Amino acid sequence: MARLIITHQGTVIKEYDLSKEKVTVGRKPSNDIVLDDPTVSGVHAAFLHMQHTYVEDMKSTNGIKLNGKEISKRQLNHGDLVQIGQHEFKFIDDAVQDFESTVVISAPVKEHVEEKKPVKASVVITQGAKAGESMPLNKPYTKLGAASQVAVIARRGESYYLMPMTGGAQGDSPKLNGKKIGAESMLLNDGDIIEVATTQLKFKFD
Amino acid sequence: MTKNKTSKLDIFGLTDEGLVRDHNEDFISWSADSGLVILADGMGGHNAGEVASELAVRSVTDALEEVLSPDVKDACKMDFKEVVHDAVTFANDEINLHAKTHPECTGMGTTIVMTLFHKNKVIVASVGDSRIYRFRKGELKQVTTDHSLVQEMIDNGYMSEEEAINSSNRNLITRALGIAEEVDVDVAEDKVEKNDIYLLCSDGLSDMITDDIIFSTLVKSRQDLKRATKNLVELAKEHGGHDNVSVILVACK
Repeated sequence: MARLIITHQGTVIKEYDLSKEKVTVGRKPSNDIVLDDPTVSGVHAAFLHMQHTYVEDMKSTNGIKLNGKEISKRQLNHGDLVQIGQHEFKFIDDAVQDFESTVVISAPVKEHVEEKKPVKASVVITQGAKAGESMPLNKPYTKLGAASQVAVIARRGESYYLMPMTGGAQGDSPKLNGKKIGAESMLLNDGDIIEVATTQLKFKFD
Repeated sequence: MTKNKTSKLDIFGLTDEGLVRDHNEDFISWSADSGLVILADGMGGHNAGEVASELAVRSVTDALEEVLSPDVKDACKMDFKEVVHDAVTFANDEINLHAKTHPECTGMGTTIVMTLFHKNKVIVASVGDSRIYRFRKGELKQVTTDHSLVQEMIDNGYMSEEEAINSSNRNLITRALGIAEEVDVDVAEDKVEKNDIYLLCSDGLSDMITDDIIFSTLVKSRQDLKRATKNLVELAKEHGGHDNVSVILVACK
């Protein structure tokens, strides 16, 4: 048996068994599946259920998307996600389900939003033999310093923080801009100077 | 040296293809030294499932490697719940990034359950329908909530627990890593008691055998972790073995 699992904003609202050849979807009450959704046309789309199952756009105003791509008519495969207005239809083909392989429902369709450029930052050693050497801060947590004294920089979203430390073996905390680190996380700004285990480093955004 | 030292841990894990699948999309990893134990159950065609589960485990391990080094773990005043949350979020970013740059991996995803033992506490985190159980003083309790359609229907009163066992929707999950830019991660903290046993498993175990069978197996063979783990995997296979089966047992000394 094949069926559709209909979700709206991540919540499952209905499960519909595809038991007849043509199932229409739209805002008008005459449809087989009626959606109360202003972005859906009167008769918006149809699911054609024969040997295979197809979805077809019925010349709707806003169109339909299959797995995030606009389409007019396509054959459906198990696990496909069809977007109609603000509703999502997950196509489940029980015949194909190889022993209940896991399917994610209510996953928001990946819109073609503008790519988020990850913010990048690094620390550069400012003094001594290794001056100029830089270390990228590309993980959630980066450790600075050596066994005698360490500091940790945490990346959270687009910001970086120096984590509070109790002090290493010498019981002395690393310094930020000349001041010992206290019990609070400190937001790092471009050009901040960190002193840890006798090394001085400069924090900078790339 | 800190006064309340991390509980000493004894850990053993196994992962098995099961009887029906021709490859294993589960990935497991543990370290008794750092107290980090991770299990991921991947999904997605063309072997992308195992890419996702392995990437999840490696990303979390990678993210935590430096904060879990003994010098930092003891010197840094961090909220480990936040640290674990950040690590799982990082894994989600890494899987999304990998899928974007490898078209054959589009649509891959994975569940994750993990524990981080620190001092006398354990942080547990979960996304998806893999599970963590705690066996304490002769009582077995599931400490994570399944992020599945069936669980949602139980929570909303549409279905009883009994009906859920036979539901054809058992394989539909509502949360996973790698399917969206944002991920909602469950993170909780628990105090560890001596002789606690934590069990991490994929649904290949919990869908095949009941909590009662898990319980009686732990009662019988918990003194020998290896044997208990093997027994659980074998039981899942005897009861069908429809999916990959992974089990990790953590005994707190």
